[in-house]
Formats: sequence, structure tokens, C-alpha cells
Amino acid sequence: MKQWIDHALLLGITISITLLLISIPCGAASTDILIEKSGTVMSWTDAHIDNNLVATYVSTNSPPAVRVYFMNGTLYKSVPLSNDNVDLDSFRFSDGWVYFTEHNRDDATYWQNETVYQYTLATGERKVLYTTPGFGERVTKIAASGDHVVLLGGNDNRVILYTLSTGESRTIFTARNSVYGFAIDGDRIMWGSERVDKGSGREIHVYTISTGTDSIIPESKSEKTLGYGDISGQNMAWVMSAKDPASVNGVPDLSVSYDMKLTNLVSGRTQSVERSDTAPITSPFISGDTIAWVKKPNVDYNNSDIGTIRTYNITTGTFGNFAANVDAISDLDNGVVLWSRLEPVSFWVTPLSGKIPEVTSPALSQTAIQVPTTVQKTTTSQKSPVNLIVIVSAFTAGIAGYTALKKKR
Amino acid sequence: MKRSLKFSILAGLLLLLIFIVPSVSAYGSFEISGTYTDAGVKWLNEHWGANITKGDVVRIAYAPEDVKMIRENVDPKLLQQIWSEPYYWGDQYPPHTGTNTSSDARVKTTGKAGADTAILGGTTNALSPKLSGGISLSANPTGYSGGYITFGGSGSIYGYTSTVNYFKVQADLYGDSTKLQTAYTERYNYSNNPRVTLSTSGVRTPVHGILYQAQILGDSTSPTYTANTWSSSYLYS
Repeated sequence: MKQWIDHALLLGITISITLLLISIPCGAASTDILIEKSGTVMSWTDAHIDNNLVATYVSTNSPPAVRVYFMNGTLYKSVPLSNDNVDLDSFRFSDGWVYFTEHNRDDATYWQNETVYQYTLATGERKVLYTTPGFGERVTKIAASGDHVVLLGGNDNRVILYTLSTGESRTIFTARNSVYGFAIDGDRIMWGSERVDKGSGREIHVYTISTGTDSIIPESKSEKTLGYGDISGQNMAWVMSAKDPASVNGVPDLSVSYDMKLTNLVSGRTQSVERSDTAPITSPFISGDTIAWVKKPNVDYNNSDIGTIRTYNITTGTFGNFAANVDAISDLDNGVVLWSRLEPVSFWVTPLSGKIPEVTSPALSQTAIQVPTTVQKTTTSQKSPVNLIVIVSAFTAGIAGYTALKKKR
Repeated sequence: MKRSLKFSILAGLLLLLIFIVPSVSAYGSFEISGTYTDAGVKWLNEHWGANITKGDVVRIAYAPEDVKMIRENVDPKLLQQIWSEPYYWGDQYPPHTGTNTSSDARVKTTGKAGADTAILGGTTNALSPKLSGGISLSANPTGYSGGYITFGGSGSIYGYTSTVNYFKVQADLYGDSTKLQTAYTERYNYSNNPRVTLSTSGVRTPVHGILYQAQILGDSTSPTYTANTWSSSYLYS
């Protein structure tokens, strides 16, 4: 009987330790801050960071608006759309401006012209930057840096460069089919497209605004290149499939592996940062010396929130892992990753340093701060599936078992 | 002694399962926006593939305010006719050849985002149908503009933000139940974060007395989904 008691005690202790271990979150060292939790799986969503402010858009929110938050999840300002019947086709938040393209919700064919607006956060002034020239033409992506705004126009195949100081726009590239990744930093713009030499696969372009030159990364000319990436200073991150793509109904499937690439635009050297033969391909983000992407263990069409934020420091050559249950990254800026979950639909920020950055935007002193409405101001760590009640229950079960057996004895 | 040890281990595992299983099963929950209510979505999932009418779907799954709006704007006889028609669970079905071509009804019953103009399509199987991911389609009302019959629509894949291998949105124009022409847009290996919407449209020289209607189809691989919906019809008289 003594052995029974020993086993009962062992059982209780084992369960308690197991549950305590489960309750310790993965990646607990990171500070994950909930910015907004709204919308549904059907919502069209997008979000960006600028100068320690976060702008989000959730198509099912009413009234439709871009919401700008402080880094602690407090609402700073809502940027209203023209009316309740419009939706966004694209938006970007950069240098104190919110750029967005409106589209009429009733027009499923996109026959009506679209307008790109520039909203000044400090003053609330809204200005028309660009209007699409014909029916069926859209602006589906916007990137901005300093005096330049880049628009993905036409039928997702034209790169349009707009200069704020002159108000002029010009098409700098037209793809055979589509333009994919799309980013700007300072004097350089990057994008991916089908190969211009009509070879199979895609390639990565780097356009220098001051010289008007369009260069192609030689290593990117491949059937394995996805065409997505990001640029920061002299570095560019982009991605290709690690394996030769399998053909699915005649279409090469690039989705089941990745080879993360880093190209130094000064030296011209391209290196592989990390490869995975099982993790789904993912688009990288780069800011300063940090590259970030979502790493998921496998392709899972029914369960999206299974990733972690993977980082690579270019200077030190070290990797990091942050957050858990991540679906996708929306932006990376000054060491802060903006990411999202699908169930429930929510936006989060994770400062890679572990410290919440202070708000430094000069725009804030010029506008009254609004009271938060629908947001939850929450600072969280990863939630454990087992809570305190469960742990207490386990202890109780162990003690009860011990007591019962002791009495029986 | 061995027996008691086995019992202890088994009991421990069972206890752990009791705590862990609920958190796993709860993960499969989902939400859908638009005109479907949460209770309606739950009902649709539980009765996926059932023999029901369009009216059943409206009464069960639409938000009350939308039902009210439809009732206020659509002729009751026409509504009775439409709502008594069978509801199709994402399968293809032939274009309408009926008489619901009143311009008033056409205008008032379409053009609103949601269940009227969009159909939710997703992977389904007999055991666990889900609406947590799939294709959302919208059809523009088939109409007449600038001397042409105009038709088209758009679609996107929802509930999946990673790389989509292939997605195609197609619009087939029918005239008196005969397919007349097709327009489509397709894309390969693209990131669906943020969600990409593909649109397609076409025009055709009209013929008097023909009833025109468009079917919008969505088809994707990795993830694999199919869906379709119909536009409202237009009689060129």
C-alpha cells in the first residue's frame, strides 16, 4: 500500500509540474502588445508602423476608417474615409502621412476610377495625389519614403513614381504580367516581376531614383523566386523557394520551402540567410540591421496562427525568435514588428528589444488625443492554454488522491 | 506493483487530456461577417448540404436589419418566388431563365455587399464542413452601359494569408441560358497578406429580347477552394 501512496504522490507532483511547464509561454521573453482586436476572418485588413505609431484598417469596422494607435494600444486618431460605402484598396503609413486608395464597395469590377489620398496626421488635411486613368485600373499597393510615393497601378503591373515636391507622376516599369513585392527606402525602390528577358520565373528589380537606373539581382532570375522582399539602406532581403518547385496543375508551387536571401547593394553580394525545406515560403521585412519573417513549422490551410517571428541581425549574424501563434507580419520599423493573428483577427506589436518605444512623433503635439473607443488596451505575454484554476485543480487532485489512499491504508 | 504504476501513468494522462483537449477543440471556432449572423453561420455549418430554400437561409442566417431592408424594397410576390427557390451550397447550377427581370427589383435586390451578391465557398467534406477559409465572390449586376451589355465580378481568398499557389476569377456571360463569352483574371504564387482581390469584367453587343446573366466562378489551388455566384439578370428589350 505504501507503494500506492508513493505513486499517488508521484502522480500529483508530475501533473503539477507538467501543467506548470505548459503554463510557461513559448517565447516568453518577448513583450507582445495588443493593438487592435476587431473584424472577422472575412475582413480585409492591413496595418503599418511609422515613428512608433501603428495604423490599422479593418474593412468590417463601422464607420470605415484608418485607425492610428500609440504603441501601447491606445487609440490616437481615426482617419475617416470619404463615406460609408467606400473601402480601401491599399494603404501605407509613412513620415506622418497616411496614404490610401478608396474603392466603391458596390463596384465589384473596379470599373470606377480610384483615388489615392495623402492624409496629414498632424493637421487632418486630405489631399488627392493620384486618380487612376481608366476603368479597371487600380492602385493596390503604396510605398512611401521622404519625397517619393510609389504606387502599384494599372492591373497590378505598373510601378508609378510620384514626387511630392513636384506633384508629378510617371510610370517607371510595366510588367508582362504582375508586380509582386514592392518597397522603397530613400533613393531605392525594389519590386519583383516576371523576367523581362522572357525566361521562365521571376526576378528582383532595384531602381535608383536619382539616376533612373533599373538593375536586376542576377541570382534572383529563377523559377524559384517568389518576387517578394524589402529594402533598407544598402541591404535588400528577398525570398525564393529552397526546393525546385513541384508542378500543381501545370503551375510551379513555390509555397512549401524557403531560402531567405540578403543582397548588399553596394558590394553586389547575395548570401543565403536561412533555408528550410518544410516551412512555407514567407515574405521578409527589413529595417536597419534586422530582417524579420514568419516561420511556420509546415503548410497548414486550416490553422494559420502557428508561426513565430524569426529575425536575423545582419551585423552580428545572429538569429532570434519572438512571439507565438503568429499568422503574418505586416511591418517592421525601428526594431518593432507589427504582426497579426487570424483567430481572432488582431494586430500586435513586439519590440525586439523587449522595451516599449516612446512616442516621439512631432505630429502628436498638434492634435488632440481621442479617447479610445473599441480597443482593448492590453499588454500581454503569450497566453497559456492552462490557467491558474487548472493548476490549482491539479494540486487539489493530487492532495485528494493522497488523502483517500492514506485513509484506505 | 507494476499494475499500480500503469494505473498511475494512465490516470495522469487522462487527467492531462481532460485539461488540454478543450483548448484544442476550441481553436476551430470561426466568425463570418456581412449579413450572416453568428447563430446563422453555426446553423449553416451544422446543416451544410441540406435541402433548403434561399428563403430559409435568409430567415435563419441574415441579420434582421438586412431582412427588413429586403422586405421593404422588394415586391412581395417576387420575393416569395425567389425565396422558394432551392439554395445551392456552392455547387454550380444553371442560370435563371425566369421572369425576375424587373429593373426595379434588380436594382434593389443587388449591389449590396454581403450574402445577396457574394457566396462563400470553402473546402467541405461530409464530416467537418468549415467556413473558416474559402473564396468570397461578388458579382456586379449584369447591365447595359455605353451600348454594351456589361458583366463581371471579383473574388478573394479569405482565412489564409500565406502564399497562394493559384487563383482564378472567371465571369461567364449567358444569354437565354447559353454561354456567350468568358472573361477571367488569374494569378500565380502570390502573397495573400494583405488579401488580394482579383476582378474581371467584359462587354458584349446586345441583342433584343435576350435575357443576360453572368456567373462568377472562383477556383484556387494550395489552398484548394471553389465557389461561384450569379449576377442579377438583365433583359435587353
